[in-house]
Amino acid sequence: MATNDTSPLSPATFHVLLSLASKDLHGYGIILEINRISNGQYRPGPGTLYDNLAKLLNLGWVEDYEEKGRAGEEKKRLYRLTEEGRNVLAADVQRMKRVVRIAHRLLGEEGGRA
Amino acid sequence: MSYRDFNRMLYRTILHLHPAPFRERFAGEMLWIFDEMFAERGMWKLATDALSSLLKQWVVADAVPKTAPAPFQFVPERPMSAAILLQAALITSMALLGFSKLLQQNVPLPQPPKTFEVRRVVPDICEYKLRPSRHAR
Repeated sequence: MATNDTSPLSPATFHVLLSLASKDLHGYGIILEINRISNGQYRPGPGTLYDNLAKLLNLGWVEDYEEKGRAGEEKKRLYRLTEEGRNVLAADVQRMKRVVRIAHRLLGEEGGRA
Repeated sequence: MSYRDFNRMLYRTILHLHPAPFRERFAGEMLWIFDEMFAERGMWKLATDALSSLLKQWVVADAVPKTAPAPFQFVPERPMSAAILLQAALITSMALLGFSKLLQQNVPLPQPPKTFEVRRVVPDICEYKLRPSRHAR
């Protein structure tokens, strides 16, 4: 599913995609990474995380695979960003940049008037 | 059974109420994260999160069916199992509890604006009838 400039991602979806941008992670790793990149401001619960992961897997923005561990160890599922997911994330970051630029300009003008 | 084990069992029950495809794919991982987060987050936040996920999963599953049956297609009739009935009873009672909570809230009724106050222009009909009798005296 393609996205465009007029469809901003929800905060949870954005953070999940962003956490997977640099490395593949398992579920709990995604929660810890989100907590890290948001400076402890946002820490989704497992329900919120897997709701979003299920949606992202269906959309094809994220894919999962089984971790290659040692024999006898419990294998965990890892999640990684697909090419399409990376494009969607980049498009949303561009959209945010535009919004921030406009906000700076408007706030600057407001400050000038006051 | 310890407090933690009891809460884990409750959490497992909530996970068990999720739609089968979601449960089979993610319940194990969610339980693992529950074990990791229980000490710092507590049961209340984790249970609220799981209940919201439960609601979303059922609403989404109902709203967007994966394969809609074609017109006039034969739909096999299966008897309702006890587990499905239990799920339905739990979800219904949660919804009813929420609704009754809403009804219990004391919401003030809207008052009509004072500018629409009706003023009597014509004298009261009783007063009108009484007046000639007063003059007659």
